[in-house]
Amino acid sequence: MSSLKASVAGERELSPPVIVAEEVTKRFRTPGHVHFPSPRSFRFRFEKPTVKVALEGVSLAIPRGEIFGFLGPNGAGKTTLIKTIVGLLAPTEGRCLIRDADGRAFDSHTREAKLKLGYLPEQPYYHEFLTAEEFLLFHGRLLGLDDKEILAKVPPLLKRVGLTQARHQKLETFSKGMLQRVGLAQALIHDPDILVLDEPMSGLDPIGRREVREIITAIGETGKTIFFSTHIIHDVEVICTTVGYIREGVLMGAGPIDKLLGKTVRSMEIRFSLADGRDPREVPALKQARKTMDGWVIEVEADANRLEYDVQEVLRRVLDGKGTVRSVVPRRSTLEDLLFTGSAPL
Amino acid sequence: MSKFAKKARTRRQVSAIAAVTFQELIREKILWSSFLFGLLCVALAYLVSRLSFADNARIALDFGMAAISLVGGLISVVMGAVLVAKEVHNRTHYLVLTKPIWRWQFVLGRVAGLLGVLAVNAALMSAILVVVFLMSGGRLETSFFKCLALQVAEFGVLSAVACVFSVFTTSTLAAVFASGIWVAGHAMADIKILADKTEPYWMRPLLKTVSEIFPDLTRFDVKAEVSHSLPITWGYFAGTAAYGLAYMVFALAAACLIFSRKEL
Repeated sequence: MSSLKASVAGERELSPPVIVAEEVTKRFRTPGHVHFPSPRSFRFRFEKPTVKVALEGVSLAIPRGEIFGFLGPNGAGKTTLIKTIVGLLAPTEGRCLIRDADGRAFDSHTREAKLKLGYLPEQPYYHEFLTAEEFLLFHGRLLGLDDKEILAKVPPLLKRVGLTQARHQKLETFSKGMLQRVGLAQALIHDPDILVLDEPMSGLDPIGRREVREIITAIGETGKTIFFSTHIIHDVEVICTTVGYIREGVLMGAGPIDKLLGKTVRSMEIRFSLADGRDPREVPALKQARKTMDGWVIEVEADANRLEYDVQEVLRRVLDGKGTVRSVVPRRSTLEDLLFTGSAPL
Repeated sequence: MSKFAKKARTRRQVSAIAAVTFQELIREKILWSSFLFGLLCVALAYLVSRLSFADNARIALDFGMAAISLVGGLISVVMGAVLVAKEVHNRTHYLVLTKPIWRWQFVLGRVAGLLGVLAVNAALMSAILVVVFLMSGGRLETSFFKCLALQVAEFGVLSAVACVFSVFTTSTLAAVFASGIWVAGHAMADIKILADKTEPYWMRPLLKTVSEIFPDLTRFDVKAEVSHSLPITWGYFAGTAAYGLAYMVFALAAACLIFSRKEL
C-alpha cells in the first residue's frame, strides 16, 4: 500500500487521513458490437464485449488539511478515482471511505460522506438558465439547507470567488473562468471539510487559471482538505503540499511535495564570456556551451558527488581564458523532472 | 433527525429538482411549437364549427380535445425521452448526484417537473377550449373535466414510460420506443382482439404478452363519450385513474431501479 502515511514516516507529523481508498479496482465492461455486412466488408462479424481496467488496486490516504495534487496523463484513471471518492461510481473491488473529525468512517456513496464533500467536476456543465443565486439556492436545497440559510451564505460565497457583481446574472452569460468559480462556490456552500476538484483549471486562460489557483490556495489556508487532480505539473508545484501520481490505473506513489523535490541541486547554469570574443567550444571542458545575447551559457549536469568538481573545472577554464563569470545559478529538480525521468521516489 | 424531518427534506430535494426541470423544459422550443400548434388547432376548431350547419359545439369540442390529446402526448413522449438522457449527456447530473440524495429522488424530481409542464400546458389549452366551446353554444358538464383529468393521467403514464427508456438509452431511441408504445397503447383494443384470433397461431402469446405489459391507453380516451354527452361514471373514472397511477408507479419504479444501477 503506497499510502501517504507510509511514504512520509519520520518526515513530518501528518494529521489522520480523511479520504481513504483501500485497494480500489474499477473495471468497465465495454459492450460487444455486431458489424453487419457493408460495401467495404461483406463479412458479418461480432466483436466480443471487453473489460477495461481503469483502476488497479489503488490505495491512498489523504491526511486532514493537506492540498493533495493528483497527477497523471489523460486517461490514467484520475477522474475514475475521483468519481469513486465522491460516490458517483462504485468500485469493482475495494472501497473508498470518508472520515470525519471524530475518526468515524463512511462509505463514499453514503449521505454522511456526501455531506462532508464539496465536488467540482472536470469542465462542469450547469443548468445555465439559472442565475448564480438560483444555482446556489438549488444546490443548497439538495444539501438539505433552508432557503434562509442559503440566501445568507450567497453574498459572502460569491465575494469569496469574486462574483459579487454576477449574483443575478444568468450562468449562460458567464465566461469559462466565472463558471469555474461559481462551481467552486457551490462546492463550498455547505462548508464541507473536504473539497474534491477534478481539473479545476483545465481550459482556462492564464488569468483565469491564476484566479482559480488563488481561490484554491485561500481555501486551503482555512484548513480544508483539498483533493485536486490535474495533468499540469506547474499547478501542483504552486498549490499542493502533497502529491500522488497515477499511470494506467496504477498509483505509482504519493508523498509530500517537498520531500519529492528535495533540496538537491540537479544542475548548475553558468553564464560567462571569454576575453577577445574567443569561442569557448574549443576548450575541452566548455564544449557544451551555447551562445546567448550577452555571452555564453553552459549547463553542468552531474550526480551530486561530481557536480561540485565539474563546476569548479568549468570556472577554472573560464578564468584561465581570462574570461568573466556573470552568474552561477543552481537548478533544482521539478516535479516534471521527477515524474518523466522516472527518478521520482514514488 | 426525526422521521418527519427526513421526509420533509426528501420532499424538498425532489421539489428542488422538479422546479429546475420545469424551468428547463419551458425553455424548450419543441414545447412552444407544440403548444402553438395546439392553440392553432383549438382556434381552428372554432372556425370549423362555424362552417358546420349543426352541432357547432360538438365539432369544436371534438377538434379541441383531439388537439390537447395530440400535443400533450407528443410533449410527454419527446420530453420524457430527454428527461434523464439529456442530463447524462450534458453531464449536469454529476453535481446533483454528488449531493446527499438518492438516485430515485433525481428521477422522481425530473418526472415531477415534466408533469408540471404537462399540467400547465393542458390547463392553458383547456381554458381556451372552454372559451371556444362556450362561444359555440356548448354547455359544460362534469364529464368534460373528467375527460381532461384522464388525458393528464395518460400523459403521466406516457412520461413515465418514456422516462424508463430515457434512463438506459439515447434520447432519440427513447423517443422512438416511447412513440411505439403510445401508438400500440391506443391500438390496445385491436391488439387484444388479435391476441385471441390472429393467425399464425404462435403470434397469439406474443400479442397477449404485449397487451398485458403495454399500457392500455384506450381506457383514458373518453372523448367520444364527452362529445356525445354520454355519462362517464365516477366508478370508471376512479378505476381508470387508479390504473394510470399504478402503471406510472410501476414504470417509475423500473426507471429508478435501472438508473440506480447505472454506471455514470
